[in-house]
Amino acid sequence: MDPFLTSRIVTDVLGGLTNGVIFGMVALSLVLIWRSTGVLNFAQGAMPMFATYVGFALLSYHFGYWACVVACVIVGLLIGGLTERLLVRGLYGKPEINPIVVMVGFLIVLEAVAAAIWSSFPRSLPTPFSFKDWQLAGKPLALSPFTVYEIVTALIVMTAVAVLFRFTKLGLQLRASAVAPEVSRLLGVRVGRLLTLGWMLSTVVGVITTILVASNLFQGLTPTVMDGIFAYGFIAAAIGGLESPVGAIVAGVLLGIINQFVTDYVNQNAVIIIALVLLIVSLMIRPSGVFTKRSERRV
Amino acid sequence: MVKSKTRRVTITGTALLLCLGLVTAGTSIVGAGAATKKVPGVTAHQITIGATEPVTGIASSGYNQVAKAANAVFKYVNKRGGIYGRTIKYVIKDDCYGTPGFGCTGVPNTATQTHALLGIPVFATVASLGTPTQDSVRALLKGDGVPQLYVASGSQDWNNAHQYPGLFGWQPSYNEESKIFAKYLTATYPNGSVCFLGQGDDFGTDGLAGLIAGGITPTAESLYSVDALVASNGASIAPYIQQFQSDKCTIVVLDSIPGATDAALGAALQLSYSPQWVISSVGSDPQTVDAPFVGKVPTDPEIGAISFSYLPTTTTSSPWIPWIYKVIEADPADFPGFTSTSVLNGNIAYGAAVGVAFVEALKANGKNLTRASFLKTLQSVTFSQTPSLVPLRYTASDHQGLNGGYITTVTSDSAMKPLTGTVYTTDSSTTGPVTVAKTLSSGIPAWLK
Repeated sequence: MDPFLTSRIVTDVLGGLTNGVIFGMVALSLVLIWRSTGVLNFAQGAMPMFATYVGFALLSYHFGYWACVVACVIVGLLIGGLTERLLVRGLYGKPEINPIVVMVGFLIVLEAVAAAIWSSFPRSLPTPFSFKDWQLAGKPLALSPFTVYEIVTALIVMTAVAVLFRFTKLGLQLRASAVAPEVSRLLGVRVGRLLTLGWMLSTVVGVITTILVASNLFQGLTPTVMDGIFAYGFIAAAIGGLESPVGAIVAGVLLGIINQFVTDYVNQNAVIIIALVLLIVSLMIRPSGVFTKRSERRV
Repeated sequence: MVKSKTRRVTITGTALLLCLGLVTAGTSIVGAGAATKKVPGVTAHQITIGATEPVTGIASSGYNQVAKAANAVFKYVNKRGGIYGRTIKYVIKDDCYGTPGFGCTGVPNTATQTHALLGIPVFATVASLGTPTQDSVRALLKGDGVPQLYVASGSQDWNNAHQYPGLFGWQPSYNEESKIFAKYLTATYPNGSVCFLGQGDDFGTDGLAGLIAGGITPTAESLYSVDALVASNGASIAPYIQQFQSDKCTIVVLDSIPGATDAALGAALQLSYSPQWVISSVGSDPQTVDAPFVGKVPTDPEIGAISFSYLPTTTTSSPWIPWIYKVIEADPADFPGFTSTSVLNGNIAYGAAVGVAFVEALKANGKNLTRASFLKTLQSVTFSQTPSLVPLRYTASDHQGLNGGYITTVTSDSAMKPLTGTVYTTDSSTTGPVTVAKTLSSGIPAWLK
């Protein structure tokens, strides 16, 4: 068997890819809300966490994994929609810091309520695929049925979102509603509904990400399950550009792979430092994001 | 316009992220204590003590039960009339382990919360939790003359009687525990290849030093980053385990918190790697460690792991086990639904045991209670009727606390049992021998039954 497939470099790339798609998904969900409503959602990890707890409560009633996933998605849609309607809508047009502060507050409230209801004790989520890495000539490949499931799921979600925004009328309306709500209204677009829809879609992407993260073998579901990953997702979104879904995904994947190599060849403590350095450098060079198209000015 | 808003929000968000998740603010304000004739926190009918604990936030899982369990002991004692007619009021302040975010609803600053305790005032702090958090308030408490008792951490920082005469640890040091592990491993696995993974602070470094002092030279040794562990949800541990597998280690020693233990066991499952695990008492509580694996794997991957305990395990016939059950059951406010069939996890047992240590010291002090008299009592009395396996003994120069326990093995998802039952004792030095304990703790004192 080819030893290259189990070599250190390939193992790092595959491990980094698995983490990277998760960062990319978080970044994507942030971009979705940003593009559709112009709000940076700091509760983007907590809202899906809450939905995942509620959805997987069905396990107690002997529902299977996929039924729980569907329930999580439905609850995510509800939480996303209600948050936009009840919490965020009044903040449009206000200074940008207002929704940020409100969403940080919402994050704290959601995590506290989740801890009060379900405790902060880790909760195991079942998974439909094996965690055991495939072996090649007695060596692990750094890929398992579960990690393939993670990557494939992420690819499907990313593709669906990209198609939605790039090739559909709905995606165009979502973008138009965020960028120019008044003009969109004049053109007959029901802006309010589209803003709600943007939050719902984003929360669903977050729910799928949270399920993947909390299903891994390492730590299970906790009220703070997404906090650390959110930080990297945000860094990816900022580097890739809050206007660019593709940029967010690419930046997330690259960040995952870079993290893996830094962990392996430098030091685990250097990972967050390197990530922040990348963020700062990218903000200095391209504040709007590496993958966001430069704005053009017609004279 | 849109681009400029994007820039502003991105930069604002970055700044906020840095503030929220990556920067832990710390303040150190040393206050001056006002001398009064009364003993602060003590009246004829009440003793007020306090603690800072991670009730919520990053370190709350499991550890938030420690102070509640100690308080259950105080409530039990209060119902029986208190100590010399004084009931114990235990004020618990949530310091979120000094870290904002991660569900923190308290004040993520141990100094601020300690100042709040001083303002009450309290007689002493009892069983406050964490090494960095308690290190950060040593000077503050010393400056106010407030005893800092039974700090819930195995750091050797608490054993510095010369500089901090009011500071006392309780559990065995990480170093002592590792020396006892080394004694067992060298005798049982003379040809074993040992790898070590520890936390990247004194928990890991002291643990590794203890192993080496005990005669083990690890084939590979690594220290993991807690920040990376949290940020990656455990995935950051996997490369170490993979390295240990490549190095063909037959024994892996973990000086890890439960989250890192889970990550290590999970990574090994993924890699089809099954070494003999040796897990420090800090990170081996069976119920806590098993939680992320329930229903996911056929058997708890921690079963068969070797650990260490300085308290009797629930599988033994120690009279303290049913006593702790009785005390916890009697406190439905803090332990709703806890019954005689509930799992008595390590955090609850820990809290109850440290609560007993405090009330026994109060009893030994006598009716005339001052801070000076209490510290003198601590340093002069051997507390042999406590839940710990070995008596609790301090001296004027040794404030570490317990110094012994036995090797255990995890038998189920909620229990461990002593492997041989031999209780060992040692000290934190590199040369101090590991010996069989000559004196063991005895049963429950009559006044506490």
